[in-house]
Amino acid sequence: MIQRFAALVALLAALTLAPGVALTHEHMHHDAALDAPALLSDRSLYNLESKWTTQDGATVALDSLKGQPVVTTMGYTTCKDICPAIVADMMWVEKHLPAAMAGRVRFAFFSIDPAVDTPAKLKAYADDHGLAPQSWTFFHGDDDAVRELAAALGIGYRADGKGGFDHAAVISLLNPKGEIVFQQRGVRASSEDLLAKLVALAADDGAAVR
Amino acid sequence: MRGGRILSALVALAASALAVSGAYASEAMATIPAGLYHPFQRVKAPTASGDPVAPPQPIASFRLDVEPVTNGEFLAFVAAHPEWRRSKVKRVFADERYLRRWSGDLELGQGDPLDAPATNVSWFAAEAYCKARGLKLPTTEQWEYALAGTAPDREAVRTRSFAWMAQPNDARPAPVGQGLANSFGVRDMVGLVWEWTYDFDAYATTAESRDPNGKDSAAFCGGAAAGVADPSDYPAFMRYAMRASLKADYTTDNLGFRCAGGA
Repeated sequence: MIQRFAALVALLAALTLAPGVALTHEHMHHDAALDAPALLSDRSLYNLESKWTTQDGATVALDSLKGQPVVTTMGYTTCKDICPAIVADMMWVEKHLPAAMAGRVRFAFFSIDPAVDTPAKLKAYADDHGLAPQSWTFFHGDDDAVRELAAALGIGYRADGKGGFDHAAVISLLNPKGEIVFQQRGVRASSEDLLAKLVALAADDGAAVR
Repeated sequence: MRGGRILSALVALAASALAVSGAYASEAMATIPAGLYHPFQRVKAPTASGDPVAPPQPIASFRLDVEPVTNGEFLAFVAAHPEWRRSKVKRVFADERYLRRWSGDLELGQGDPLDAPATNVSWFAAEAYCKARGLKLPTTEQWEYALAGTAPDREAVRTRSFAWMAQPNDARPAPVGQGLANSFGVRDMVGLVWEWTYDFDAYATTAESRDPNGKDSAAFCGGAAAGVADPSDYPAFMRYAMRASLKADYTTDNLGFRCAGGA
């Protein structure tokens, strides 16, 4: 008891000497953990807190994608090399979705070129390619948001000094919780593996709901 | 039991008070002067008609930690930012080896000195640490430029690198600050631990991302595999290969970091 009292006195002394931010934060953290189960899996990309602007000008966090399978990539719209092939692969997947899954998958394109790919540019790109906002979202973020997401997706990139970028061609499949369940590295004539994983994911999800 | 919890709260509080008062924010930084950076990667592969070497690139002045971030500094950071403690870190941000040699959330391991470089830290954790100081991880360009921006340093880097790579890793990295400062006043960039950079995977070259049209020898969408400026620079190959092998959530025993900021 005396020991406890002494510790409390020391604690109070420390509180008056130091900004008490950490202790308050600790308590909040503790209470939150008691009150609610973890809403996000530890491995969910939706733990990233970056903010993005869509092609329609909405400001969103990544967890706006939660609750559905997501087929996603990173690139830039003025790219002449590999990006059109990546988007073509994603379009191929969309075209070959089983009828029951139509409209239940989100296709997400994150630009690595924030300076050029403004939301308006992204919208024009989507329109030019006939990528309907019902299924496709294009995202514009700041440099740090882009670099952090690219790190999480394992997409290395760098400016090539000529207005373009060297970057890895990666299409990732996220489950409704935002976990990476499959990645296609490099472009394909037809992305059958990716499509198969996506269909399997939807089947799993359906089973879980039932 | 209760006393133990109060005690650990006190320890956390003391550590965070240290952090808030700037103990980890006062790490010495060197100002790296603007200059010309010689890229290791070529823009174009040599051809029969010529051997185009990438022109030197201007690089702006920036600040860089003189030494790698230490255990002590990282301890103060995790005390002030509980989400980065070993028991709380989210798996998406750091693999299961994160801070694995520490004996607890706020205790270093046996024989792990405060002034040894912080290792078993992921890219996300390193970047979060730098961000808390108003800094970032150095870009690969900045890091490489600071390593050997001047000619006399280049030879020293090679010699030091070969000596380091010839030795098995120590069980634990030695304390920082024992290496000789280079002409920019930074030390321990070679010979102690490998280090994260902001764009560590930007130079990865993989066959599967090769330009599908084959119209140049590009890996990635561009010219990343066109070759290198100095094929004899084996330590540089090692550095780029090591960084390309990383993923942002990886943590290993001999991978640390330092922070950079604007001039």
